[in-house]
Amino acid sequence: MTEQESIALFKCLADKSRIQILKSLMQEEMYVERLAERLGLTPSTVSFHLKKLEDVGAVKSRKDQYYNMYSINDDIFKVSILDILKEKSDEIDLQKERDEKYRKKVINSFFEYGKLKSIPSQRKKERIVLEEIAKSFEKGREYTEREVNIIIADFNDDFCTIRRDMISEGIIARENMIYRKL
Amino acid sequence: MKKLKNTFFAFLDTRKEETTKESELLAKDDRKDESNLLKAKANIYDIFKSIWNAAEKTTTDQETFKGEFLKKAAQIPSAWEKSLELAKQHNDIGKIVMEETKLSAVYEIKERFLSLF
Repeated sequence: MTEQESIALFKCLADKSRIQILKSLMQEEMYVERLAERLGLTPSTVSFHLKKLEDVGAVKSRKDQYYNMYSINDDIFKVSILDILKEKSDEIDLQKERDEKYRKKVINSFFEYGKLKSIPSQRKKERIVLEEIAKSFEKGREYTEREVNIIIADFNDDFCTIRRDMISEGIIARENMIYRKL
Repeated sequence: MKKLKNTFFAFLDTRKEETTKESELLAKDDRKDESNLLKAKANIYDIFKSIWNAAEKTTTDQETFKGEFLKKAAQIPSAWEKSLELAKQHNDIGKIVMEETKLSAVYEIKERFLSLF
């Protein structure tokens, strides 16, 4: 069950009439008029609630001669709330998508033909730019300062500032004049 | 006419109040959807006050007024009747229940109006 589906299910269940309908259907399958009579609701109101319950998969129906017989959809109620909470959140995916879009936008604004036009003044944007440059470094490989400067200079002439900022941002580390990507 | 108007308006006010109260009780009883249907129904009563006032402006003759009121009273819910028919064709239960609820108020009001004349 996706997050959206579980929200729809919980919203649908947060209604006394619908809970009463489900309780009746727990006993046996029923048709609209029978439910209406039992619950003191009009058949239209019962149909309205059944449609909502059917839409979220809480009930199912089958044709039986002239009537539509409704019954509980056991499968949906066997799912535990803990299992629902363990489901990966759609919102996290959406957030990732939004972050990636923003990232691309920043890269497109600050890079032109592979060159960094200027160093962003906003820290968040600078971090994105520095991470993009860091893609040219191999993880686990050790670099001399000269090698680092040459790689950065391919992007922008101000390699000193960029190298220093990459260290302070924790993108690369320096130890005994040897650099490596973190 | 004034007495008729007072009686009719008192009926509309009472029914509106009763329907609103019922709607509030349903909301308190966690039956929000049914409560919302009644909220929509409660609004219908005021519409017919406006219809009366509009019809009243056109004439002072009681019979002409009655005809004018009924004409207007048929015009307004005709859109709901059409919508109900369409909803039935498409088996749109939500819309069916909403239009039926609104129209139930209309039929009740018309019946009361005719009983006065």
